[in-house]
Amino acid sequence: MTNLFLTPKLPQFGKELSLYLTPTPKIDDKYVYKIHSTFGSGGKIERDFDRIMLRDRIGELEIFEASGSLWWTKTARVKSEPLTSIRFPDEKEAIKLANSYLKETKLYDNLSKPASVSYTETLIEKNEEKEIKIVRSRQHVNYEYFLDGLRVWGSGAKIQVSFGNRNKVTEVLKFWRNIKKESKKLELISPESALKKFMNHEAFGDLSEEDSKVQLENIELGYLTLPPLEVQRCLIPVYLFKGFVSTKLMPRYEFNIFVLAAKLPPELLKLSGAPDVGGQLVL
Amino acid sequence: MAKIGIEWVKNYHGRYANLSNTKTQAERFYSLLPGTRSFNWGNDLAWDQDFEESGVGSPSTGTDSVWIDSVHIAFFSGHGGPNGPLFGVTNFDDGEAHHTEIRWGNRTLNWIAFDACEILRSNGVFDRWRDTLQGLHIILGFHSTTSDEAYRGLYFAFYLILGYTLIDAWKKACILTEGSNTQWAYLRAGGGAGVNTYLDHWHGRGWVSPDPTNSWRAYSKGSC
Repeated sequence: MTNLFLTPKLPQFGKELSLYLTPTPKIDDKYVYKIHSTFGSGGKIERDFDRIMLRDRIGELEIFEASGSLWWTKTARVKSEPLTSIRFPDEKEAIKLANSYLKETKLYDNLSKPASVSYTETLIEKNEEKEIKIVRSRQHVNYEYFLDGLRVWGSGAKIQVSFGNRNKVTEVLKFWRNIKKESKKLELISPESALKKFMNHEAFGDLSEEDSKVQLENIELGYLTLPPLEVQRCLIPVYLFKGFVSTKLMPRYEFNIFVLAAKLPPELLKLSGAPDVGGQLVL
Repeated sequence: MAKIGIEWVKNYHGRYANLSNTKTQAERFYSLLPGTRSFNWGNDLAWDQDFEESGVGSPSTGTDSVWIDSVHIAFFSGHGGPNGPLFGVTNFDDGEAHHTEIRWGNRTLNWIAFDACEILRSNGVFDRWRDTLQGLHIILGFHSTTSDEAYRGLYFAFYLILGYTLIDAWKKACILTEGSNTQWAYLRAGGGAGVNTYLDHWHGRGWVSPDPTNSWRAYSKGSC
């Protein structure tokens, strides 16, 4: 079994790391209206499933009650993809614009950093035309979160500011949970123990040593969040194992597998939502 | 009543790495979306021939008229690549529903969603998928790789029920479950009187376009 794995020298991360609780967010109607007015919108509060929604002619605001995360989208009454490209500012300028927008709307977060600038692109092909038309219609500045210098992974830890025509913000999302750093520290599981758990992951259970390889490229320590619609009352300390699997039929299948990085008492494990993550996280 | 079908693969028998969350992913979609639940084939009962046209390609064992093209929406969760979805068994065909063997929408299928890597990779997307659109409205998937996670199918159904378009519901489900390095994508067909697949909703939740003639196609991708 071990011949299946190609592993780098394991990094060392110390003996403990901080525990971050994510208390239940307090979301009342006043708070919802305040947030919505930030975007120049009004409307009446609607509740469905675990989502609070406000919609008017200007935009739609969703607040996810489980996390307090928010997502505002400018109303676009369009009947198809945009047909003309927009000239966007360069990436440095886009980040500057996004930062100042977040500060202006009080959504800026010192724990986050701009990580990339990306675009929404549409390609249109018509039977009678040889050329494919390419339209670039949105520019997105994407932020990632860090705590104590460690990356926070998962879709519950990101900010995205999207720009359309004339650098107008068309969409902003802030997926994050308010955190409370506890004085109590968590005892780290050694990377060696985590590696053993990783090697027993079901992803590799049926691979044959003869024609398959699991190339582990990198191990990082950080925290894992659940999606913003899910209840999570403590961040999950994790090792991220990154690499790829080669089989006869697929030379490179990239994986990101998380392994629980600290000994969590059962009540904290339950609060973290870790048992709900499924096979992407090894407990 | 609109019909729903799902297929998922966790066990790949060494052909590829196994996956963990595909069953949960697909079954959450299946359980939540209102409609007639027509089939749920998983692991060794999910076959590439279920997605392929009869008499097309080699081996030409396709049976999509009985399965994928017999429902209004289909959802696949498993491995994939630019050429199509990948399966764990080869007992009945070759284990890959290759785009050259696919013709969707000449029976019932309106939409198909792929919770799988790179099926809609932008390079050559029209050359690969153009001929598969035989009445199909939209293919939803990813330009990039995607993670093996458990919630996307649930959120996709959730937004469809709330009355969002197929395209918006898919984008939202992807953004809610992935980091910004992942890129959602869709490919839709257009053309024909009164056709606008961009505004398609789940049956009973809003406008549903007539079947497009596929005289033109629009492909879009963006960061999650």
